[in-house]
Amino acid sequence: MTETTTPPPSFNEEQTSSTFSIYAPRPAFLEFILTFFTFTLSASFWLVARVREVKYISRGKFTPWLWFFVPSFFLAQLFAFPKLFREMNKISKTNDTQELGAWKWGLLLLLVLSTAFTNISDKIELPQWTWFIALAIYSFCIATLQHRLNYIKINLALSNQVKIKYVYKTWEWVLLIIGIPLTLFVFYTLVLTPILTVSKEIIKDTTLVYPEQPFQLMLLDDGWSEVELGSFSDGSAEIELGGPLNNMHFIVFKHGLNNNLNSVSYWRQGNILKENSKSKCTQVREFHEQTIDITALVICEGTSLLDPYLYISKAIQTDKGIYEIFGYLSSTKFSFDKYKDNFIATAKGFKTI
Amino acid sequence: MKIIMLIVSTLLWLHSSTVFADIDAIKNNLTQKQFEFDVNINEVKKSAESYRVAHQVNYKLNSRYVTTQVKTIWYFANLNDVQELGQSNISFDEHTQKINIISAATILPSGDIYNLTSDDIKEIDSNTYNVFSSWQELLINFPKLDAGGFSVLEYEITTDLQKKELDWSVSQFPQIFYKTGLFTLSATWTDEFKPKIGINSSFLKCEDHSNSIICHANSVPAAIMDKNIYGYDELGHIELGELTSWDDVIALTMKNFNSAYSNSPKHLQAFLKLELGENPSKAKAIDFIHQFASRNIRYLSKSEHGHAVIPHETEKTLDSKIGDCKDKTALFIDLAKQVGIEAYPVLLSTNRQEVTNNLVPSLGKFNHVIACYIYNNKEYCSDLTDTDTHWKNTSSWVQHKFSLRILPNSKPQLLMSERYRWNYDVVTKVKLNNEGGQEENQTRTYGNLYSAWFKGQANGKKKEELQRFLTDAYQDVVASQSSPEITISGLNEMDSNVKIQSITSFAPFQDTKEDLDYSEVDAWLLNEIKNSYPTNQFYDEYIPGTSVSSRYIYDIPEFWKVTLKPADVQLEHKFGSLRRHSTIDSSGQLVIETSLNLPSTHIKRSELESYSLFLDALRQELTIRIFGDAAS
Repeated sequence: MTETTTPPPSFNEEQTSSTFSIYAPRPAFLEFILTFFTFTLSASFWLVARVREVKYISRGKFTPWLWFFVPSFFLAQLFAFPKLFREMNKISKTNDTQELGAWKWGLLLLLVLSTAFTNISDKIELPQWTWFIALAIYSFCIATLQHRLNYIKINLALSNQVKIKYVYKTWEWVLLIIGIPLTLFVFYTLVLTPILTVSKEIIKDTTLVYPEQPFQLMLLDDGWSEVELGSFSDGSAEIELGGPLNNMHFIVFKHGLNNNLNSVSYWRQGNILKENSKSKCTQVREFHEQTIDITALVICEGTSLLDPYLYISKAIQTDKGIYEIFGYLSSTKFSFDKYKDNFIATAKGFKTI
Repeated sequence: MKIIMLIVSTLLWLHSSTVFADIDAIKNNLTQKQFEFDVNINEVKKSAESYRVAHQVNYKLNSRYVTTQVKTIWYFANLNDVQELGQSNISFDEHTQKINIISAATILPSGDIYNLTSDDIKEIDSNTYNVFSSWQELLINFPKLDAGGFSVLEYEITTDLQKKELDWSVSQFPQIFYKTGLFTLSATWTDEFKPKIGINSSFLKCEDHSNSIICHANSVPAAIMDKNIYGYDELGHIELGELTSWDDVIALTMKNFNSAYSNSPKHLQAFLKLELGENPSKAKAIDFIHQFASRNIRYLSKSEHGHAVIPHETEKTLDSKIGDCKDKTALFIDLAKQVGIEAYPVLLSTNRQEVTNNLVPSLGKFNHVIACYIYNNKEYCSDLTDTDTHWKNTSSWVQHKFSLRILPNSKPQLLMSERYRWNYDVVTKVKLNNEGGQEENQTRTYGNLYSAWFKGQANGKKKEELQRFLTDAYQDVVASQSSPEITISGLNEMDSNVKIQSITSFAPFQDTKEDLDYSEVDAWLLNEIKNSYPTNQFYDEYIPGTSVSSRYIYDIPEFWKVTLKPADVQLEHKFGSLRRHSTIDSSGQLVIETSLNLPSTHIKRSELESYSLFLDALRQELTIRIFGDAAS
């Protein structure tokens, strides 16, 4: 009962009391933009600040700094947000304003699902656009909460005759200036580029033979397509193939007669090590099937930002020069493991005819 | 061309009979009319190549004598062939055969005829190493021979079968390495002497009658010459002989050897007891007997009449310490018998390495004999004329050769051949020094047959000569500009492996402040691959097996951090394999192990190129590459 008898605080941008500030209401769409273009980073700070305000207003039992981690863990959200909703309703009831309706459970569901989605997206490879959808949903939820808190604040402010300003703070501007172009670039690279790239679907388990090219290969998974030259290479490739995962492709190169297997395979291995110096590499020379053409197989593996990756290069020496298939696969562990064996088998099955 | 001359002359005059030469009297002078009757001169002279215009052979066989009449006419289109072929030779044995030169003449390009005299014919000894019988030779030089000229030789040999040690058999070749215009062979025989006849020439057309055979071949093209072939294996021919089965050859050889074994071996037993003591182990006894027969019995061909194929009595050989292959073999067998080892002779032809069809059984097919025996369920074969090869190995030059075990019911077959005849290990320790040069310590350990080869090479060489030989070999194979210190050990004992150690320093070749980019060819492996290429182009070829393992141990200074090791190599093929793997050992040294295995194999003509390309492919992978980052 103490909480309800406490006088409601007044607020403005500069100060409300000597120890605590309640920020002015801000339009929900501004919160959406901030959340979306900072990849939800701002949501953690936002939540800490809003929970601190709610605690101040409602005198509820909160530990605001712990809320910094709530946006990252959907399981925590299952307990945290209902509590926040309860406190918000308590404030509403105290101020005779409208309480959160049943839609709050829908909001909770969206928050939890979108967070869960981002939580598992590093385990399962999904189309990149889905990740942006999840980000938008999450940002929408944060904006909705902001809208509701605005409602509460405005009601409180109206009762206290406080003027409202709608502005970003300095650090938020910094985040937006960095975040907007970065988000647009990522969106273009991961979502638009694959859509805009001209590609030809390839049916799995079909031997690919190219006119005037003395090689063939067979892709063992669905989702492969032949893409424009230059999509993955500098344009000097003979063939380029995009895989079902984003970081999954094969490129076929022809190295001229002035090269030999040593020059090609050691160069390739050296290049991979330059890109990822902690890669574990093996290089093996074998005869190509029953012929006396020698193949050089280079396989380098490692992890980068916790995701496993694999480079593979199979070069075959022929009297017309050296033909090399070069492949790269990097993904979440689940997807990596799912595709790895077939990816290696495809490269090993590359043959000259 | 000397090889051609030898083969041609051998094939031309080859027969198993020996001759008593009556060279003082050449029966007939060839007249122009006779020659023009035999040869269409103008037609022959159209040929741009020298060739055998005619080769006519006639045999008359009865139970006591065989009379062979041979007439051969050669046309010489150029001076080079005059140089190489202007001489004929006929082998003979004065104890069993009689020869008459019917006519021998040179036809000059002008058509004039020069009839040879006895001054143009020489009689010489022709004993050669490992040859069973001591044949003599008639050398017939054709004076005044010139490009555009002919030689004519007609002779008759009468063989007394009752005096012969060997059975009677002959081989004639319609095809030789020169074109043949006309080849004829005829034989007649009585009911008491019906010869066994074997024909494996596609050029020959024969008519068989009850007591005769007539064969002929016209315009036979020259056989294609190659570098590593045996005429008996590759050239179709016709054989005639008196024996009807290989059992006859075995029985004859058994009889010959039995006559040499000691009837009362007390002397042999006493000798062995003195040398080996009581109840020596079989392995020790074999080792001693083998070394004694091969090293202590000095090789000397004692194939005088009566001992062309019959060994001398073993006790005499033991006493004189002199013998040839059959004497040494008989002594080994006799001594081995005293310690419970049942050894047996094995006849060998070092001129054949195929068991072809339609062979006529004959002792004359063989020119060598070795001893074989079973020990611990495995057959061991020893050539007692070889003073360097240990008894557990079979001498390299008899492996895969045409052979006949003198055991009941044996048939000719190729003598065993080791899967890897030539094998050795190389361990090379390389220390890259602080100046960017390297110090190399290399040890080569050779397997027994290779060791035997080195022992043979070292025989008779002075210390300085041997040092020069080893240094040259190292410089040829590893580095021509190097100055290695080389030591060799294991040359004296038959059972010891030859070890060659070399220590070499190489001047700085790598900037120690730059990244490491090192490459070195595994030189000894490369050398073996180079030596394994088939030499033939047109005929099948047998390749003796080679197995070499190489281990490089690199000590790399800390100012380089190895980033790229040599690629692993797993080149597996039906012709052989090359494998390489590298590791960093616990002491931080880079260890690179490579093995080359080229098993012995008979390569078909159609696969000669494939085999060479296979070796080419292996050569590409012999380079060791090491990359490293310089310490920053």
